[in-house]
Amino acid sequence: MKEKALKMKAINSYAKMENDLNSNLLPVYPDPEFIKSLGKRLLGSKNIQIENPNHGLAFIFIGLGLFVGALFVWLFRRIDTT
Amino acid sequence: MNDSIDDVKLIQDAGNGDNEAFGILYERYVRKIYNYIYYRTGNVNEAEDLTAKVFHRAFRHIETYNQRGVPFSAWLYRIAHNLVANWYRDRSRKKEVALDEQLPSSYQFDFPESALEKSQEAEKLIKALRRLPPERQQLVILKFVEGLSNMEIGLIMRKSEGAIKSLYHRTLESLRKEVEKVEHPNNRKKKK
Repeated sequence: MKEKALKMKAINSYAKMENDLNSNLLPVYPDPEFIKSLGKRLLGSKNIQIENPNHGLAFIFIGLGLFVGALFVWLFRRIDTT
Repeated sequence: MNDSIDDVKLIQDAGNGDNEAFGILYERYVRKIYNYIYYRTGNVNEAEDLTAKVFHRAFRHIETYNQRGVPFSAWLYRIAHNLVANWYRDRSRKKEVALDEQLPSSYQFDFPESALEKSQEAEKLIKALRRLPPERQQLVILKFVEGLSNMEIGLIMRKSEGAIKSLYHRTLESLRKEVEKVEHPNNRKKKK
């Protein structure tokens, strides 16, 4: 009998706790300005991308540099022989 | 109209670089994530900061998210949970005091006026809630603030529905004890 009463008391206290939680833990509403500005920042950020290095252009410049260098060497040698 | 588009399609599109699709997902979940973080931290500024971090992280990794039986919302809650855990860890390192003791006796939860009546009962309840282990706080917030079912909570917390049910009962019991401690703080001292 006493056990049953204790059990009932526990059930009632849980029910009261649930009721308190339901009535007190209400959703909160964030500042609409925050929602708006975060959305803007988020969706604007994907457009900013780090540029991929252009390897083709690098090869052209290196090739051109080597060619010009070789041309100078050839010209100097030609001048020396004459 | 946006409500009718399901998450799966939006996630696919967002993964393919469709910003508008991610924007719809953002609008759909930002308030829920904010609520969760807000109740975990009890501070508007931190809630805004961490909510921003959750969505930046989700935005960066949307391509890697694949639907392995985990809804998009559960994925977001997990990110939020991890960020809140990191936040608590950093905070405890800096202050080197128990998290329980960080709440002043006057209780300064800066809830927006429109959202919650600053009643003494609510103060006591939330103060008691914040004394619970993080896992139990998470369960209570997801159930009562977000209104999720045990099954949905299980997906977020990586537990079975039965495990959530059992954890829920233990949580109610420990919350009841914490409320008593908050209501009668001198009782414990007297016993000692």
